Amino acid sequence: MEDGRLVWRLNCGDATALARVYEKYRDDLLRLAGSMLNDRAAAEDVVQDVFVRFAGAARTFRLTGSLKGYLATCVANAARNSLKAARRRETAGLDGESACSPEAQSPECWLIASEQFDRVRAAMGELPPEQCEVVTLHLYGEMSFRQIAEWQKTSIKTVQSRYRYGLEKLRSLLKGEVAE
Amino acid sequence: MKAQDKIETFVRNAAIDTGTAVNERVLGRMREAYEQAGSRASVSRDLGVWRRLVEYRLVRLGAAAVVLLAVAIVVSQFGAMLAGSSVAWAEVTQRFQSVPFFYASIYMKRDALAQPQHFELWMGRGGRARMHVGEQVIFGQTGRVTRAFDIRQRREAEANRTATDILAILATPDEFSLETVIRSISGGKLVDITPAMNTQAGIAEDLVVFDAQSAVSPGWMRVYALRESKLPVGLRIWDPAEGFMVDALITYAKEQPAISFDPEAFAARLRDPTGTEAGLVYLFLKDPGGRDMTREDLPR
Repeated sequence: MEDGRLVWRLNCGDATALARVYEKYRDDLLRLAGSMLNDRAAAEDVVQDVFVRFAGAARTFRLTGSLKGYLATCVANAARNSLKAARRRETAGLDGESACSPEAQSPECWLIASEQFDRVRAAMGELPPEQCEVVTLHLYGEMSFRQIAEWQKTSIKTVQSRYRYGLEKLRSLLKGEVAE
Repeated sequence: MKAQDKIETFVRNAAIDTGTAVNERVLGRMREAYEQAGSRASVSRDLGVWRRLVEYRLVRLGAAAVVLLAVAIVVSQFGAMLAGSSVAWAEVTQRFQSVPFFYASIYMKRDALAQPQHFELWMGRGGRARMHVGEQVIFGQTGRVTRAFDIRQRREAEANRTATDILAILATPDEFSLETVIRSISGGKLVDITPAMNTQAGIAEDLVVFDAQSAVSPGWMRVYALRESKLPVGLRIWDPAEGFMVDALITYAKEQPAISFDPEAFAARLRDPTGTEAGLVYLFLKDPGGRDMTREDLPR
């Protein structure tokens, strides 16, 4: 409901609506990108680019579904491209850089991870990419399995299976962290 | 809690924080991109009003936005414009300011097969507005909903989303500029040009008809105005592509009593069990003859 009004305000030239969109979805998009990429700098770049591109198109943007779903899809697409580019550069070591910790906060840090998010992120990195995508898009992007299936160009059943297997693996990886 | 729920909760609750300096920087880049896009597409921006006239329905704000936008345009600008080419813009503004009150009864349908939806709008001086949509009576002031009430349930309610947007639109008078609309309709080629009078469409001497065709869609707008008073009394917006249609009847009267725009006075009467639903919807409003619209002594 609010998203429709925000987009309308942006269509009308009201730049103050940008801040609301940004504050509303920043954290979830950063968590989404951070989980998919397991690389703080790359995740920050992806989310920043998505926000800036959205702002550039906001005057003529038409909202046909959920704004969060739209932005999450943009982030997921960009994250995929980033991963492909990284593989092409043979920098497969995407597990090297960790997110800024609260203690190590610097002016250049955008994503400051809690210990819990660091653990989740590390566990996500152990999942097959398709499962990681499904879990993060569903939990952080709030996308339905149907939307994810369209995005992954597969069936809903496959997406549901990936989600179930992904969660099972996460539970095994995070054993001891999650209260039994 | 099931094991799956626990892991979902754990993942969802994995919080992050963000650096303030970077937040500011990213927002700055967003604003820059937004402004640059605006200046690059000045013509497109001019087209925006008409696009909104035709396209808002796609984002569910449209129908009402279209209507109110059109009504506001008509009331604020057309009336004076119809007085002739000798009328200056200052006079146009002055004339509009002299209109103390108007009421619009608006029917719209989103597409050819849809049932029309009815809106009633009372607009007074100082940005005061009152709306009736379905089961709600909504009060607004300078573009914001002040309070909204559900008449059937007799309690305060969250305002109808469309009505909220309508009030927001009414608070942006720069969007109602006739010049902008004309430029939009003509694709940026016509400036300071009025819609063409359609002499063939006018079947009575005391009525003039003005048509405006969109340059960016098959939609068009027709305005009916009184020749003598120059006041618009009706309008139709029609998009043949989908059968989207708006019909509005505009009436003018002496200003309604201040209490009719007062949500506090309305709230005080809301719980009165003797009040009928019709009585509440039109509470404190006067008919053109100056009587209460729903008198309490009417036979029930």
